[in-house]
Amino acid sequence: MSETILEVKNLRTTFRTKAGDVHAVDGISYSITKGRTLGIVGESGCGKSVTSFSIMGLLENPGEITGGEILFKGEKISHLKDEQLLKYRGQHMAMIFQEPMTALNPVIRIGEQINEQFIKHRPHLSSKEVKEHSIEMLNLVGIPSPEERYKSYPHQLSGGMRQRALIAMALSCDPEFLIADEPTTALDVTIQAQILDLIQDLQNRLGMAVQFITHDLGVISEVADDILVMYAGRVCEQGSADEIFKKPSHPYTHALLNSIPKLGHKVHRLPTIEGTVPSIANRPSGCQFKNRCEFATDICGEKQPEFTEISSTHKWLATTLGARDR
Amino acid sequence: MTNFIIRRLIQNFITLIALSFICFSILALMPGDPVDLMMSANPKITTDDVARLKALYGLDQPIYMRYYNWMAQVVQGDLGYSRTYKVPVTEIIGPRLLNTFFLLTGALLLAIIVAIPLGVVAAVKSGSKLDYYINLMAFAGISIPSFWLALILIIVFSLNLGWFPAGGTETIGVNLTGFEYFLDRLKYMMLPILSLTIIQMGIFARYARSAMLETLKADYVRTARSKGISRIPVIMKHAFRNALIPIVTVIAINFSFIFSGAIITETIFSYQGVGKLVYDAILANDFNVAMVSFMISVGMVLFMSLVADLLYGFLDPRISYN
Repeated sequence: MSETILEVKNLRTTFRTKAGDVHAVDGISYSITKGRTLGIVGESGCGKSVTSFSIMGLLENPGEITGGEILFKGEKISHLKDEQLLKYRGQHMAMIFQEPMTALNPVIRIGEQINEQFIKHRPHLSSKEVKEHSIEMLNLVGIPSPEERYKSYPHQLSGGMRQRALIAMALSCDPEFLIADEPTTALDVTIQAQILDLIQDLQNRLGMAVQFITHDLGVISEVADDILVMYAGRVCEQGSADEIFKKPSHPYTHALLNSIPKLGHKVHRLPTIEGTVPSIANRPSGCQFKNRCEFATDICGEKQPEFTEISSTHKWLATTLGARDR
Repeated sequence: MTNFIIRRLIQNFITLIALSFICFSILALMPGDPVDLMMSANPKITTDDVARLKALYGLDQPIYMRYYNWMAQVVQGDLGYSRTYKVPVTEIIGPRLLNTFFLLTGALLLAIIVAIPLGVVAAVKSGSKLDYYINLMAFAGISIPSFWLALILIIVFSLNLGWFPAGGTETIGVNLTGFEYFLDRLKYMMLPILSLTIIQMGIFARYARSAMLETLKADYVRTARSKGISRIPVIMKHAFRNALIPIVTVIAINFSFIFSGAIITETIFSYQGVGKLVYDAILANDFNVAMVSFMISVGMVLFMSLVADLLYGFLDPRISYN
């Protein structure tokens, strides 16, 4: 058993709004071990990004962690103050963001933005060494003529190049844990593939644990070792990638998989999941998915769903019988 | 860059000429002219004299001809003669301009130094009590009419407390030099500067706050935080540098408001600047002085907007002038 890098236990993240407390993340648990990739899937608004921000300590007011804990290599970090988290951020854990167009500061040169991290976490380096390291990172992520790009401003780079620069920045201090929050969503398909390859390649080289967030199951099938399916702030199914793709149990997982277009299958219309995620401010009782579930019965509204284990690694949040059994 | 500056200078020059014609026409359309004023001062003057004087000064000609004559002189470097001061315009305008320059620079600097940090703090602590108070002060500053404020300042600081003189430019009859002279000037400038800046402070603080609120929420600020950079550098380096772009715009636009505010302020405090000169010149039908003062103020505003444009290029790498 390899080393556990990140462990999330019963995490609950609450936004204290005027309309009352809203639990954007409501009691989720998982762990990631060294060198493995956990894919978190779910549609918009199900709490994927809030989970990542909770780990990184980047929650914006009025959001805060109100329950459970987050352990980084066995050390509890969920209660730490912003200043105490600074040494983790960028050094031990790093994050790549969704929008390469806006995630880089438009008025600061690419090189300087990478330098910052070395200056913060590697204070013993001279300014010349810092520059060398930054250029080396740009080279590592496959940016052509890195010396020139070092002096470029973000707007002088294409979307794919910017995402590469962001990856260079995130990985500059050899983090043990990387959160990739939909890193390919804003890119076109050919660039997507390149970026995915790059992340996987760097993961193999540096042995990082990766938490990969996406709503694209195609992407997940390529990168993830384990998968966590989230719905309305909760985990509705988790297991290894094989288990999830071969034996989806929760009706939501099933529906998600059904909505991927398949080569060679002629369909009149692509199946979709009708309706939307229930508003987090107004969660129904019982199963959260019942209003959109084709298998829903009366019991779904009454009984709180519980985790059913299929194997030691595979479990799902069940009220009625799983879609698998139908 | 050089091309851009040259192009802008040419544009500014054309604007200046166009505005000079508009200003000249407005002055000429005002009821009465210098000769009419002479008439009221001298009851013995005859209608023949009036007609002769009007012809002598060219006041019987149509506006465009008078403008042409004035322009022809200006091009030759002759700004004309002040009717009220009985000296060439160039002689009075120089020192007046310098006085106004001190006043405006002081007001602008004070407003920037006080208001921008307040706006930044309000944005960083947005929603807090401090933010609330800063906002309250900013709105109060924006809403106060400057002439009223000037009168209140005079009542409080010079009549009641006696800290500053109620008006004037410098102590008359003493020969001060060096630092003492500077202090003396500063003493006379304090109240005019205050009454000029309080409105600007409100405006600048509001803009700084909203610009900062915007950039503090930006994705790149979150990226910077995710790198482990501490709070103050994130705010100053990442958020504030981006917020500076809209702030500079507002400062440049407001410069013209400060200048027009100076006309009122200088008049109330009898401060011997261009603003007061314009006011007196218009009241006394002293066209030559008024026209030159107008041109200088228009020129300053145009110049400031050029400076702002150049600053953009410096602050925002996405803007290039090549």
